[in-house]
Amino acid sequence: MKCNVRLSIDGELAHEEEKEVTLFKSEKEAWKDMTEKVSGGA
Amino acid sequence: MPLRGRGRGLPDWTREVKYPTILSPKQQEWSVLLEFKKTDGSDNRIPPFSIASTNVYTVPEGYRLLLKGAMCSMTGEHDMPLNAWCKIWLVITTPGFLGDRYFIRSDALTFVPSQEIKEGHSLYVYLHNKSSEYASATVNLIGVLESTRG
Repeated sequence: MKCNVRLSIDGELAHEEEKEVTLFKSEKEAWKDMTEKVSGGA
Repeated sequence: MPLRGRGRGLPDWTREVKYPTILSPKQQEWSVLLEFKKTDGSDNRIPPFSIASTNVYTVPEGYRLLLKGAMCSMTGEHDMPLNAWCKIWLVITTPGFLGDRYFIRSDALTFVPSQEIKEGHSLYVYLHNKSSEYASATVNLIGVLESTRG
C-alpha cells in the first residue's frame, strides 16, 4: 500500500511522490514500531 | 509608490503593492499534503481497524523545520465523513513522540510555540482507522523551513 505525498515550498509544488505505507493491525504493534523509530533516530 | 504597466486589455497602469511577509529571508513556507485514497489503478484506503504509517519528511542538511500546524480528515466508503473516532499520531524521531490526538471526521492542530525538527530528523504520521469501513484520509501539515547557515 502507498500514499501520495505532495511537498510545497513557498506555495509552489516542489516534489510529489508515492510513499510506502506500513499497516498495523493493533495499536500495540504500531506503538512498538513508533518507539523503535524514536530511539533509532531518522 | 511605483507604477507598473499591466499589459494588453488591462488598465495602462496600476499601483504596485508589496505585501508584508512574516518570514525572514532565511525562511520558506513549507507544507505537505498526504493522501490515502482509492484511484482507478490502486486502492490506498486504510483498511478497517488498522493503522497506516508513513514517513512524511526528512529535514535536509542545513535546515530546520518549524512545524506550525496540521489538519486531518477521514471519509468512509460512501465519501461521507467517517462517523467514528479516529486517531492521529505525529512522531518526530528526535525529541520523540509529538502528539496523540483522537478526532471524529476532521481536526485541526496548532503548535504554539512551533515544534522544531532538526536537520536529518524525520516526521512520521500514524493514522488509526477505528471504524469498520475502508477510510480515505488526508493530512495537511504546515510549517516554516529555515536555513541554519549564515
